[in-house]
Amino acid sequence: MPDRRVGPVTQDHLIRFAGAGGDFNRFHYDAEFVHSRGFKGIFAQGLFTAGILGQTLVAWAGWDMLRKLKVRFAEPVWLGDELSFSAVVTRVYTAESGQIWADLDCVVSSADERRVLTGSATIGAAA
Amino acid sequence: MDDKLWNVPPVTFRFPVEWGKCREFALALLDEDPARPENEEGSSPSELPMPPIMATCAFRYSPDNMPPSARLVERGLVDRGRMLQGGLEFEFHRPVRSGEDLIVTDRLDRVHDKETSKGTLRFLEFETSIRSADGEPVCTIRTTNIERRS
Repeated sequence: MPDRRVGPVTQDHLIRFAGAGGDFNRFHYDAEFVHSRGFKGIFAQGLFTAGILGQTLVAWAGWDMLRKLKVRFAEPVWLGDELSFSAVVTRVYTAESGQIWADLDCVVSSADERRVLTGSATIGAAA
Repeated sequence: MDDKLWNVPPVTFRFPVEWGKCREFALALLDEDPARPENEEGSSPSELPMPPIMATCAFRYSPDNMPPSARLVERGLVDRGRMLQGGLEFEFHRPVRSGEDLIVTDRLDRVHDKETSKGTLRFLEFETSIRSADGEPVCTIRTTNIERRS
């Protein structure tokens, strides 16, 4: 998958995603609350980052080709972060359905080289 | 372990996959071409693919408009201010288009504690099962939330 760069992440992005997804957790818009909980600033919804990864994968592989997606939120994505989305094929095989599937390792990194999300995906036609 | 966590019953509800919500989601996820299927031969402009991550927000169609973790928060069993998302796992049994009417069941699947140098962390694992009206599996989601206990 060609690398994709996104950002910088803005408060507008997080508010728009909160409206779409319904995650109005104060970590994503209330700086005073976030500081009171010991964080250095507002950070993005994990699903925002995972969701962009999902859209990037289906834009590349085909919207109906995503079979599995597993993500781990390794570090917060802070306002202002610029993100790089990458995925590399690690295995190509014949699934039980007889379809050819491919496994990928996925990483989202910040411009300051933090791995904010790691995961894996499987693409291929459904049975 | 707090046994009251297991007193929260599974919740089943209808999930209509709306065209406007698919597009809103795709745009919020910075998709540059949310109407992509309109460019494909034979597909109807009246249909859009459901963004994969949108499945996690099916809870908005539940009677209480809550994700499964929030049901524990509401009952005082988990502190929302101490809870973060740990991970997420999807299995898509088939693609979903707008216009479909799906059935969702949310439930708490597993709870375990882990001692770390930063204190006790509680891992709460939820399963969301999405099926068609005739019971065909569509998507299974496993969500892990982590609560800082101390």
